[in-house]
Amino acid sequence: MQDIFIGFTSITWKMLVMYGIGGLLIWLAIRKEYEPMLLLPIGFGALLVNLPLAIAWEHDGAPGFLKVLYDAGIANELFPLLIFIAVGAMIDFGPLFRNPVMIFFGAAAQFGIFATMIVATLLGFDLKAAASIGIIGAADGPTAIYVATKFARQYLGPISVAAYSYMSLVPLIQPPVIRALTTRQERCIHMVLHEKPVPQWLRILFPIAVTMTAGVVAPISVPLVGSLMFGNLIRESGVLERLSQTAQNELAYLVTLLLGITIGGSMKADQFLNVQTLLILGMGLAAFVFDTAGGVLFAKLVNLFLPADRKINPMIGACGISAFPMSARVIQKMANEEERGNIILMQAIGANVAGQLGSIIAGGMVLALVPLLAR
Amino acid sequence: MDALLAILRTESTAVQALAVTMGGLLGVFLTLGFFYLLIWAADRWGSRTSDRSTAENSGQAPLHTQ
Repeated sequence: MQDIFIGFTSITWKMLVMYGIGGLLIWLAIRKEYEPMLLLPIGFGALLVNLPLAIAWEHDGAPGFLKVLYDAGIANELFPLLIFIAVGAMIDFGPLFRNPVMIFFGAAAQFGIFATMIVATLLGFDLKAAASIGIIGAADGPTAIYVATKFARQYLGPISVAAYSYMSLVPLIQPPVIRALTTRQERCIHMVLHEKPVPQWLRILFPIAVTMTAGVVAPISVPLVGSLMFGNLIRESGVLERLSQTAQNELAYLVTLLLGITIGGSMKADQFLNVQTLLILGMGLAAFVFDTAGGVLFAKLVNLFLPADRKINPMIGACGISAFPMSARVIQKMANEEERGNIILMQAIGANVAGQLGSIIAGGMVLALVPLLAR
Repeated sequence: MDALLAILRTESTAVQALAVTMGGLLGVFLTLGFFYLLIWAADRWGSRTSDRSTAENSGQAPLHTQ
């Protein structure tokens, strides 16, 4: 008799909480439109894996479809890399080529990764877990998943949820931080727009040069950088338009779908509901705040050395994160609110594209340096 | 370098994180700085090439119109 009602009798309070969390993610995706392409599959995956007996994960020793997907795409890091090919095909480095100095904001805004990593170690996480948590600050989902898969697979669920949730909350997180660190006068700074054509040979050589450089500086980062730049080369080659469109659309959508539901499938109640998850969610938010602050303060530092007519609007520094193009849009909106007609969108996009580059380089640095020290 | 790594391996996790921070940020700035130089050099080389071809084209123009 008990076997008939096993579905009811095996429900625990932790499962009920996970239904709430799964439902919340689905609600955020549908009602608030916060990264719906990921939060909805993650939320549904969380429901699936926490149903009684977790048949979708494993049953009678045989893997369920979520476990099959996990082994095929997450455990071997394939899905994040496929996403990178798609993202690479979407990136236009043109605004960065026109304003190359913006590249340094893509470096400065990675400060949040490292600051959060230090905080995580102070809270008791080991170095590898701390590095994986810090990478949430890359504002780059695939990099966060890739590093977490390598260093702290047990925290993959909370890290992924934090990365994608906070990315969608950039319009809420960044403005108060920027306002706290800048004066109105600074936010009203106008910037000269450099409009010049970008030769195609530069667009083609750049992804190749970046891959080669990353391969020499941090060989372990090659899968990350190489897949991103491969996608970009397809885009810029000018002869693979169909492949470029396939990468940007079909590949991106299909892998995102599978990635989302598989990450949701890794959110089992007994592993997800603990103090560490709460800490990771808190530190993920801190990472985004540190990133924004790092970029803004770096811009202010640079301004100390620039003549009055060439000052940089420090809000641009906040765009050095990888959340593209959301961060650039937020900054342009803020600039327009501060002073109607102040257009800094192209510079902001340049910094934002640099942030995409910076985040994978930072991910590569973490992947290269942490194993040298971790016990 | 090996001696420094050996020392750091015996330090606390926070100190190790600080070392990764310094190395990581330095690495990111240097790598992106290198990319900046690449773009800058390409821009210089590209503008010089286009100036030259513009000059050559302007010199050839009368031939085409004859």
